[in-house]
Amino acid sequence: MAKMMVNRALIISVLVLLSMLFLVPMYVMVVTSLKTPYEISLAEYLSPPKFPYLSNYLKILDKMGEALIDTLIVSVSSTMICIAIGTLAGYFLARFNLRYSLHLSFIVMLASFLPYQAILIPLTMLESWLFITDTYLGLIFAYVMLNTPLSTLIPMVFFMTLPKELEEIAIVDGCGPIHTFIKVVLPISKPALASTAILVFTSVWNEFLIALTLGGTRIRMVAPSVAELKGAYAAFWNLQMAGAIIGSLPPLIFFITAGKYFVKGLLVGTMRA
Amino acid sequence: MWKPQLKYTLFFFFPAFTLILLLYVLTIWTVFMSFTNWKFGVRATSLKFIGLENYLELFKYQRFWESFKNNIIWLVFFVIPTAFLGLILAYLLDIAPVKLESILRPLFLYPTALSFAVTGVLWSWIYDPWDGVLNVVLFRLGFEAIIPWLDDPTLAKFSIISAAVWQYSGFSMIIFLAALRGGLLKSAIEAAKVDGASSAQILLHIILPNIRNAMLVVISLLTIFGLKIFDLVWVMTRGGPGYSTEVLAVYMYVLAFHQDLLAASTAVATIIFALSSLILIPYVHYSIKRWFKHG
Amino acid sequence: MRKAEITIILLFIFSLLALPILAAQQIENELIIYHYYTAGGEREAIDVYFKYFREKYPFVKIRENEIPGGAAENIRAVVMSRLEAGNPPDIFLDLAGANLKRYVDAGYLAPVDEIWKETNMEEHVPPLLRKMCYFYGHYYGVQANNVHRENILFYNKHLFDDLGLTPPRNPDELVKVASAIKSAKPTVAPLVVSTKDYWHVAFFFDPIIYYYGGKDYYLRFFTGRVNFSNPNDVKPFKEALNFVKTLVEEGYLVPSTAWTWDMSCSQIARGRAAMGIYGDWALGYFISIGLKIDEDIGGAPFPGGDDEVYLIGVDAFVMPKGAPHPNAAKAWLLLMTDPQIEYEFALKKGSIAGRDDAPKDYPDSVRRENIEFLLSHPELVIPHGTFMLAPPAFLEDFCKTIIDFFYTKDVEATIRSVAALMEKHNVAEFSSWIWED
Repeated sequence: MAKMMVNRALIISVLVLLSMLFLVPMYVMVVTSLKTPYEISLAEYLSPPKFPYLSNYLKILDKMGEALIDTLIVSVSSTMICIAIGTLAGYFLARFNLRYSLHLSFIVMLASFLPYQAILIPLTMLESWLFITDTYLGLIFAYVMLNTPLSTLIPMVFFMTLPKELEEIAIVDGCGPIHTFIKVVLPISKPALASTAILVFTSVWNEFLIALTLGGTRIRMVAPSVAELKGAYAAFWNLQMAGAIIGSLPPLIFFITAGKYFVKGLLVGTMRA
Repeated sequence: MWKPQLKYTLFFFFPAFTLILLLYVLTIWTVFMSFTNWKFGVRATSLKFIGLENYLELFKYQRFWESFKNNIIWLVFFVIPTAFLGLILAYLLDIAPVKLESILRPLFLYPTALSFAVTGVLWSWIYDPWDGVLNVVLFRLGFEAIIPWLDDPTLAKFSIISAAVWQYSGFSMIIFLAALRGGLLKSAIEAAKVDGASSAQILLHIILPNIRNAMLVVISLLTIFGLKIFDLVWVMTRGGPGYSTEVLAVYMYVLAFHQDLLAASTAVATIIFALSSLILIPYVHYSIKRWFKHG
Repeated sequence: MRKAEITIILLFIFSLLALPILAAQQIENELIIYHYYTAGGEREAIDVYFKYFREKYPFVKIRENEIPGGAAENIRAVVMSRLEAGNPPDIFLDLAGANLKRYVDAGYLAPVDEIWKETNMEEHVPPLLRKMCYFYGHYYGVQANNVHRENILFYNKHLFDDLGLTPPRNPDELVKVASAIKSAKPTVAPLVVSTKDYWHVAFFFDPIIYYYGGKDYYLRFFTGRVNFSNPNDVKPFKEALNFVKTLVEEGYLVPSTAWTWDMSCSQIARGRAAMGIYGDWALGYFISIGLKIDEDIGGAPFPGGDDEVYLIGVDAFVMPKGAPHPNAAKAWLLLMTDPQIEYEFALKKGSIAGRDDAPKDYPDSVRRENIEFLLSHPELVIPHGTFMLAPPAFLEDFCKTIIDFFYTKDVEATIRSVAALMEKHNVAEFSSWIWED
C-alpha cells in the first residue's frame, strides 16, 4: 500500500515537473504575443502585458491569412499523399517475401540521410527543368519526395511487428494482399498512421527554405511569413510570437484530431478461435 | 507472407520507390559534385573532376573537426535523452486517466508543432544572461553569478541540445505511444493476463519487444536528425560563440551560401551521408537480426 | 496590280520582322522581385517604390518574394539556387560592393550602364559609393538608396546626462567614458555587442581599425593589401586589437551570444548598457519602441571629431542575365534613380538618399549630421570594410575570429589567423577592383 502511494507521489511530481517545463515557454510565447513593442523592449519575459494588445493578432491574420490557406493546401496534400504511398510501400517491404526486402529497406532509409539544404540547388534545377517552380505542384512534389522515406519506414516497422494471425485468417478466407491490407491491416494501424501524419504535416508546415526558393512569389508559406515579421532592420518580437502562435495552431489542431487514433488503439474484430 | 507478383509490386511499391529514386538522383548529383571544382557560376563545360581534393582541403581546417566533434556530442547527448524522455512521457500518458491524457498529450506535443526558428528564439530568451527566465529565477534564489548559458563555448552546446530535447521528446513520445497503443498489444496483454501471466512476464515478453521496434525507429530518426541539425543551432547561436557550437550542417550551409565554396559544401554533405550510413546501417541490421531471432 | 500586291506583302513581312523588335521594347506585364525589406520602416520604404511603380506602370503585376533574414542569411541561398538552376527572378536585392561582385564574377548579372548614364548618376554620388556598383568597366545594379552610415555610437542619453558625459569620439575617450560609467554604476555595461549576429562585431571593430590606421590603411586592410610580415604594416591592426583587449579585460565590453543586435539595443534603451556601435538603421529600432532620438537616445559618429569618417553600407537592386521580364526590370531600376523617390524611401527607412540632388530635410539630428558630412566631405565617405570591401566569405571568418579573440585575448595568434584568412579567401585578388578605375 505504502509502495503504491510512493509510486503515485513520484509519478505525480514527475508529471508536474515535466508539465512546468512545457508550460513555461508556452506562457512566455503567449504573453509576448500580447505586448506592445515598447513592452517587448523591456525584456521582462515573464511579466504579463499591461493590456492584451490584441491588434498584434489582427495584424497577423491580415498579413498571414493567405499564407495560412496556401500552406494548408500544400501541407494537407503532401501529408495525404505521403501516407498513401508510404503505407503501401511499408506494407510491401514488411509482408512481401522478397529476398531483397531488407536491402530495399536500407536503400529507403539511406535516402533520408542528406540534409535537405544540400539538395536545394539540384532540386531547384530539377524543378526548373520540369517547369514546376513557383507552383503548388512543385512544392508538393518536393515535400512528398523528401518525406517518403520517413512515411515508408515508420509504417514498415510497425507492420513488421503485427502478429500475423489476422492476415493469415484473411488469406484462408481467400483475400488478396490489397483486400487484406485495406480491410484488415489498416484499421488496426491507425496510431502508426497518425504518428506518421503528424510528423510529415509538421515538417512540411514549418518548412522554410524550400518554401522560399520554390514557392516564394506565388505561394506564401507560413514559416517565412512568421520570420518576415521580424524584418532585416527592425525587430517586432510581439508580432512574431503572435504569428508563431497562429502559425502553430493548425499543426496543434491536427495533433488533437489525430490524437483520437491513439486513444482507441484496440483491435477491430476478434480473434476467431 | 505474400508473393511479390508484378501487379502488386507496382501497386504497393512503385509510387514511393520512384520518388525515392528521384531523391537518389539528387543525392548522387550532390556526391558527384563533391569531387569536382564546382563553384558559383562555373558552367557545365568548365567543370573538372578533381578527386578527393575538396575533402583533403576540408580535413585541414580545425573548423571542420570542431563541427564534426559537435555532431558526435549531439548524437550522445541529444539522441539518448530524447528517446528516453519520450518513452517516459509515453508511459505516463499510457497509465494516466483518459481525461488527463487528452490534456497532457497536446501539451507535450506542441513543441514539435513549433518551427525551429520559434523554438530557437524562445529558448534564447530563456537563456538570456540578464533577463532570461533561468538566470532571473536563480538570482532570486540568491545565486550571485550570471551563468553564460549561450556564451560559454562548452555550456552553449548543451544549452542548445537541451532546447532540442525539449522540442523533440514529443516526437519520440508519439512513436512510443503508437507502439503501446497500436496493433494488438492491448488485447495481447489482456489475453496474457487472462492466461495468468505475471506483470514481469508481460513486461518482458509482450511490451518490451514492441517497444524495441519503436526504439529502433526513434533512435534511427533522432540520429539522422542529430547529424542533419541546422535550424535550431543557426537561430540560437549561428554556430557561435566563434565556432564552438557549429555543426556539420551549419558549416555546409555557410560554405555554400556565405563562402561560395559549393563543392566543399557538397563534400560536407557527403560526409554527413557517410557518417549516417556508418552509424545506422550496422545498428539497424543488428536490431533486425536480433528481432527475427526472438521471433 | 502586281506592284500593289508586292508592296502589301513586303509591308506585311516587314511588320512581322518589326514585331519582335517592338515587343522587345515593351514593358512586360510582370515583375518578379526578391528582396528582404520585410518589416517595420523598411517595408514601408519599399512600398514607396511600389507605389510609384504602380502609378507609372499600372498594368505590371508585381510578384514579390519577401525573404526574411536580411542580407546575410537566407536571400543568398534562395537567389543562388535560382541562378544556378537558370531560373532567375527579374530583380533581386543584396548588399552592394563585394557582395555584388560575387554575382558579377559568376557571370550572372546584366550590366545597366545606360540607366546610370540616363540619370547622370555618376556625377551625383560620392566616388567610393559609385564604385560599389562598378566592376570591370560596367555598372551593375542600382543602389537601393538606403545609404546607411555604419559607424554611429548610440548611447543612453539619460545616463550620459546624469553622469555629465559626452559621447566619446575616439578610443581614448571611449575608455575614459567607460571607466567613468563603470565606477559610478557598476551594474551597467559600458559597451555591448551582439555575437549571435556575428556581423555586428564588424560594426564595432572596423571603426577602431580606421582610427588607428587612417583612411589609406583601412582601405588596404580590407582589400588584402596589408603586408603581415612587415611589423610596421601590422602595427595599426595590433593597436586596435590591444585596445579591444583592454576593453574586454576591464569589463568595458560585454558581448553576448544570446542577443541579436536589437536585443543589445534594448539593453541600451533600458539603461542596462550605456553604448553600442551600430548603423543608423538602429534608429528605426529605437523609434519603433517609442523612444525619442536626442532625448532618450543619442547618436554620434565614431570615430568623431577630427577623425570623423562616414562608413557606408549600401544595398543594391540588380538585374540578372536572362531575367524573364527585362524591360520591367529596367523600368524598376530607372525609377529608383529618381532623387525625389530616393528621398521618400530614405525617410521611411531611417537612411539617407545617396544622390546629392535629393531633398535634404531629415527629421532627426543624426541624419541631418550625416547628410551634412556626406555632402561636405565626399572623400571621407568610405565603404564599410568588412561588409562592402572584403569578399563576403571573409566577413564571417573575420568576425568569428574577433569573437574568439574576446575570449582568448591572444593578440599574436589572432594576427596570424587573420593573415591566414586573407590568404584563404583571396582577399587581395577579389577586392582589387576598388583600386582600379
